[in-house]
Amino acid sequence: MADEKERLALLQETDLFRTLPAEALAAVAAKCEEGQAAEGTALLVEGKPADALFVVASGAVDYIKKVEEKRGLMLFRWERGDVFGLNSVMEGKENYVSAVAASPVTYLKLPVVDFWAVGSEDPLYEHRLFRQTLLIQSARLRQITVRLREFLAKIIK
Amino acid sequence: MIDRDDLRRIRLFQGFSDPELDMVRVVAEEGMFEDGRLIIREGSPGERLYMIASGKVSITTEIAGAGTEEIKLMEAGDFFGEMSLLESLSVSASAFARGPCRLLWIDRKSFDRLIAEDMPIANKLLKAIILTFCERSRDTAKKIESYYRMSKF
Repeated sequence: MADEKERLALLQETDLFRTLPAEALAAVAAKCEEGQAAEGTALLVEGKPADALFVVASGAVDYIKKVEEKRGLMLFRWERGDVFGLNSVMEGKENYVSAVAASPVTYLKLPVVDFWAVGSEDPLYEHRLFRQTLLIQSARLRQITVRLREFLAKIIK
Repeated sequence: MIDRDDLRRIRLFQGFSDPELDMVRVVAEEGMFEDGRLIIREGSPGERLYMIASGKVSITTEIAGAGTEEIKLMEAGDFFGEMSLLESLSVSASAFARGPCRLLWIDRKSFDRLIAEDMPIANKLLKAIILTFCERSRDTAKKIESYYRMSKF
């Protein structure tokens, strides 16, 4: 992802940023840092404060909830165009899950302060980011509730 | 018309100014629900955002082969029904009055109008819903962890 065009193309693929106008998207692209991670690398650590949100450019990242000392349950898998770390950034709290590279991964990382700067630039940008955030969260909440039901059904049976 | 203080106690409207609350008062409605009454049914189209002014509401879901299970007990100040309004999808859980409760609600049309007409109000509302979603995701992840542990016994 050496050039700006590729960064913009990736951001346009994301549910979070795709409704932003071109100038706002360009500002986001300029603030993003590129990164690579080997399989097994933790990009977010459960219990640690969130300092950025991530966009997957290639590879896969798993959201893992720790359930025992050395065991975690996979709640979600993120691939190209998926954004993760969003909830903790929104809340300004610690991560409640870990994000671990399930393969070699390349990604864009947007520091928290730069994410909020986009919204404070213009109420319309903020509005669009909030609306998209809600749609993403709502879909994920439905997914995670399905997992919860599966566990509940296991216990009851 | 609904009292401003009633709205101020709802998490969704904390931080709203009096004129902003008045815009909500114009479109909000209220009603009493007796113990056990069904408020919304899982799988039905979501048409209202409900807010609990007093009392408790049980959020339940159907578990295949096991029947109805309570997944959350909501209290005064909480709100529900917003997910299906935002996504135009069916309701993902049922809600029953647990004891007598007083509910406030905004229907889909009024909710859409509130969001469309005033950007500062819209952004405050959306942010409040986002933070609630964050909390629900966090709670659900914790529940999965405890259900996992229980399933080991």
